[in-house]
Amino acid sequence: MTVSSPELRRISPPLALAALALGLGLGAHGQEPSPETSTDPWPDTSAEPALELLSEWHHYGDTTTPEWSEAPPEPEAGWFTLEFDAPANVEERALELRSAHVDEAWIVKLNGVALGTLPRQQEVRRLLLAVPPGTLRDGPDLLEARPPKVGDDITLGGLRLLERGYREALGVRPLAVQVIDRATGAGVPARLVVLDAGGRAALLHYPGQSGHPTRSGVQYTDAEGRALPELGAGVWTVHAMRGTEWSHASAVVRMPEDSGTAAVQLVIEREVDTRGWLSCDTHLHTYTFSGHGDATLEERVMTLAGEGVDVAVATDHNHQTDYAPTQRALGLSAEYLSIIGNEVTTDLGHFNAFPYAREASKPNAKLKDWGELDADIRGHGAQIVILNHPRWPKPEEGPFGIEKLDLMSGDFGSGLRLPVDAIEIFNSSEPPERWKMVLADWFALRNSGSRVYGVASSDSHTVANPAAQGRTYLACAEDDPILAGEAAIVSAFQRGALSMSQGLFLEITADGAGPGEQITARGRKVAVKLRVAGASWANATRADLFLDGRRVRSEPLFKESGSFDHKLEFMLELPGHDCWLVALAQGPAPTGGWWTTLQSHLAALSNPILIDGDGDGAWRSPREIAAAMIDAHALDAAALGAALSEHDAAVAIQLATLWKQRPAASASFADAQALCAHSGPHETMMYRLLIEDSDAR
Amino acid sequence: MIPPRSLPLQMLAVAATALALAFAANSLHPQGLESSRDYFAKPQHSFQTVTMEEFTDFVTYLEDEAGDIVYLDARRSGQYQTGHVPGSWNVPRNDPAALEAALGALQVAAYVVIYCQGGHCEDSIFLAEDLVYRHGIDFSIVHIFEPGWEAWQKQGGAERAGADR
Amino acid sequence: MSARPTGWNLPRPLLRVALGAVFVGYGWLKFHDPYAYLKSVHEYGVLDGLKLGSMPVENLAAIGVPALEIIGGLLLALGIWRRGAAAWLALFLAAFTAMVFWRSLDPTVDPEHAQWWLRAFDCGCGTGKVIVWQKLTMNAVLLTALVLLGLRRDPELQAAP
Repeated sequence: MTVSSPELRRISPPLALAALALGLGLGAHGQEPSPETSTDPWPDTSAEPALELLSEWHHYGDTTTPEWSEAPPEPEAGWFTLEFDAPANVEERALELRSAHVDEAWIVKLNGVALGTLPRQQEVRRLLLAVPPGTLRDGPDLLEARPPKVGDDITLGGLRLLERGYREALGVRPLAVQVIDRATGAGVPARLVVLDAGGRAALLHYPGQSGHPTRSGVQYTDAEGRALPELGAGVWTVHAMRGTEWSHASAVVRMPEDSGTAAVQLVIEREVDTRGWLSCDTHLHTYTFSGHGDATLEERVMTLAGEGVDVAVATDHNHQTDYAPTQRALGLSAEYLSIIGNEVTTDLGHFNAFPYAREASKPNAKLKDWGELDADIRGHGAQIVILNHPRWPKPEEGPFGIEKLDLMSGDFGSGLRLPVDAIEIFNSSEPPERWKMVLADWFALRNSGSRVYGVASSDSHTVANPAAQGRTYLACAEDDPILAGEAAIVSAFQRGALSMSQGLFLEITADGAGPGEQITARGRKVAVKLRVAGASWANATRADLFLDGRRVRSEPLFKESGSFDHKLEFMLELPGHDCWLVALAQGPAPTGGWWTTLQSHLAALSNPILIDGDGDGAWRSPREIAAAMIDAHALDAAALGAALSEHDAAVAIQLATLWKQRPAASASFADAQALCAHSGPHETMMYRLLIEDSDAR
Repeated sequence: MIPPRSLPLQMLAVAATALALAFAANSLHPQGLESSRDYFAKPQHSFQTVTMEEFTDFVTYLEDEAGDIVYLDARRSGQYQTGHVPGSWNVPRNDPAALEAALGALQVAAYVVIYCQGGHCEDSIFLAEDLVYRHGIDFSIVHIFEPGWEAWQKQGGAERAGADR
Repeated sequence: MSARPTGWNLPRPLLRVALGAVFVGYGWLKFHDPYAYLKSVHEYGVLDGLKLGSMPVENLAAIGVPALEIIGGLLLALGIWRRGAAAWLALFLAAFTAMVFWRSLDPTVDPEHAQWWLRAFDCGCGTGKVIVWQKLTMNAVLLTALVLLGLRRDPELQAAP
C-alpha cells in the first residue's frame, strides 16, 4: 500500500502491532479464537434458520502460515469461491460469515453482485451482508471473495445464508434525524455521531444506500439537516455537531424491538461570534481524485457543509478538483465558497496551491528545485502557495528536516530560501503535538527575516476524520463567503490577516491593528486586546503572548459552563525596537466518543502583528536589526555589546549567528569577549554562543 | 639497588615511589582527576526545584492538562528506553536534535521539569542551562527535580518503557 | 636443597611474576578510567567527606590505589622491595575484601538475590560486575599467595649457608 497522507501513515503502526500481538496470541494458545468476542457489534443470529455454506475455517491466499491455528497452513486457493444451490430470492436475505487476518479490502460477490467487503482486521470478525432480492438464481449460485491484489492471506469460515432478510433478521430500521438551527428554526447541515450504550461507534446499516456520507458510527445530514441512519434494536445516543463555532446536542434513542420506527430532533446553535472572520480549510482530499482515503467527491462536499466551514479549498494530490458542480447538484452552493486548488505532491514536499481556474493545466510535480517549482505552481495561476506539514512524516524526514532548518538562526543548512507564502502549523491529521515543533520552526524562520505565515487545515482524506477541524480564520469585512468571493480570500492570505484554529477561536489586536498589519508604537507600550472564544463543548485554559517568538505574558483562563468568550486587555511592554507579536490559546480536548480527533488538545494561534518599535515607520526583523547593529559598530565590539544589551534575546541570537559568519580575520577572540562582556542581560547567552561553542569546535 | 631489609622501611619506599608516580601519571592522564575538587558535592545551580511531593502531584493529576507541563529526561537514551516518566521527552547531553524536537513544546509550556538519574547527577542542570542560555527559554518556568529517576523509581512512581515520542 | 618445600612444580620467581601481573592488570583497569574508579570508591561511602588538607581522601585513593597496585605488582614480579610491596598489596586486598563483604550484606545492591553470597554488583575492582562468593574466593587465593610468595622470607635465601 502506498501511504501518502498523515492519517494513513498514523494508523498503520498500531495495526501492525495488533497483527503481531494477535499472531503471537494465536500461536501461543493453539486453539480456535473465540468468534464471539465482546467487540462483536452484530446481534446474535445463531438461532436464525440458515443454509450452512461453510462451517470449517479455510485459508485463502498464497502464503504458508503455520502460525494460524484455526485453519490449514497451506492456502486452498488464491481466493475464495463456492458453488451452492439455493432457491432464487424474491425477498432480501442475509449472508453471515467470519474472517480474520484481512489486510486488503476483499470484495464479497454473489453471482457477480458485490455484497460488501471483508473488515480489514487481524482479529476474527463476524460480518453480515444484505443479499438484495433477485441475487440468488435457480441453478448453481457462485459466491466469491477476492482480494484487490495478490499478497494477502486470510482465513474464512462460518458462512451461512440466513432464511430471513438482513433487515428482518437484524431488526434494522431507519431513525429519522432532523438537526435544527435554534436561531432560525430551520434545518441545518450537521455531522451525526451514533454510539451504543458502551460508547462505541454504532453499526450504521446499508451505508451505501442512504445517500448520506456514512461510516461506522458517523453520518452527515443533507442540506436540510436531515439524516436517516439505519439502526438495529437497542439504545443509542445520537450526537449532532457542526464544527468549531456550533454547539453540540445529543439525544438517547430507543429503537424498539418491533418494526416501529423512531424519530429524533436535535437543536444546535451558533455559539462563537466570528464576525469579521471567515473560516477556511485549505487542505482537503477526495478518494475520487486522490486515490486513497475513502471520501468520494459527493461525500466530501456534504461533509464540508456539515462542518460549518465558510471556505473550502479542494486540494487533491496533483489534481485540480472543482466542488462547485457537485455543490449545485446537492443544493449546497450557499453553504460555503469552494476554491479550486491542488496539493502539488513533489519530492521536495507537498504544496497547497490556489486558486486555479477551472480550465488551468496542472503544475509539474516532478520539478526538483524549490525556485523552479514555486514559479511553475504560480505560473499556472495560483496566487497562494502553502508548504504543508513541514515535519511530516517524521520531523527529520519532512522538508524542514531534509533541508536542515537550524532552530537557532532560522537558516536552512541547505541554503534554501523558502519561497512559499505560508506553512501549515496546525494540521489536524498529524500526530498530537507535532504542531509545537512546527511552531518552533516558524518562530525561528520569522526571526531570521522570513515573512512566511502560518495556516491551519484538516488534511482530511476520509468521512470519519472531520474536515475543517483544523481551520484558518481569515479577516474579511463581508461575513457571507459567497458574497466575499475568491479575491477577498486570496487577499487575506497574501496580507497574513489570518488566525489558526483547532477547536478554539482567537482574535488579537495591538493598538487596533490585527494580524498581518503593522503599527508604529507610541512609547514603550502597546494596548493589546485578546479574545479567546469557544463553543460549550470546548475549553481554553491558558493564553500566551509572544514577542519575537518568546513568551512575554501567560494568562490562565477559566470558564463556568457553556460557551465562553474571554476578552483580555493588556498594556504590553515593548523592547524598544521593532518586534512581532502573536497570541496562542490552549485547552483540553473534549472527552467522549462523539468527538473525533487525532489531537490531544484544542488550540488557536494568531499570525504576527508587526510592531514598529523604534518609530521610524519601517519594520525590520530581528535578523535585519542585528545586521544593522553589526554594520553600525563594525570596529567596536564593546559598543556593539552595549547596543545589544538594549535588545531582546531574539536579536541577540541573530547577532550571534551573524557574528559567527563574519570572516575569521575580522573578529578576534578579544572582540568576542568584549561583545559578551558588554551585552548586559545577554552576557551568559552570548558567552555560550560565541566563546563556548567556538571552543568546542 | 640495596634493598632495605626491614619491612616498614620497604613499605615506606614502595609507598613513596607509588605515590610519586601516581600523581605524575594522573597529571599526564587525559582524564586525570583534579586532586582537590570535590566530585560528589551537591551541584550548585540557581534554578527552581520541585520536591518529590510536587512531582508526584504533577504526574498523578496533571497528565492530561493542556500540555502545560513538559518533562525532560536528561539521561542517556538507553536509560530512558528502560523506563521514564510517562510523556517525558528524552534530551540526553550533547544531542541537539533531541533538544530541537522538544523546543516547540518548551516554548509553549507553562512549566518545565527536568530530571536525571539522581544522586547529585548534573545532566539536568546542564540541560536547564542550555534551555535558558542558548535557546532563550524563560528562566522562570524551568525547574529541576533533584531526587531524580532513582528516587522516583524507588518510591514506585509511574513509569513507561520504550520510545514515548 | 633440603629446605625447598616439596610439591612446588614451578620456581617461586615465576609464580611471583604471575601474581605481580594480576595486580598490574587490576591496577591498569582502574587507572584507565580514573573517574569511574573514583565513583566506585565513593559508593562504598567509607571515605566520604574525609579530607587531607584541601584534597578529598577519596581522590587520593582514586589516584593512589591504582598506582600502588601497578607499582606493587611490578616490584613483586621483579623481586625488588618484594616484602614491602607484598605487604601493601595484602593490606589493601584485605581491606577491600572486607568492604566487599560488608557491602554484599546490603540487599539493595542486588535485590534479585536473597543470599548475600549470590549477589552481584560492581565492586569497583576494575572488572565490572562480580558475584560475591567468586570475588571473595578469588581474593582469599590472592591473599594466601601474597603471604606465601611475597611476605614470607624467602626459604631459598634462608637455606643459603
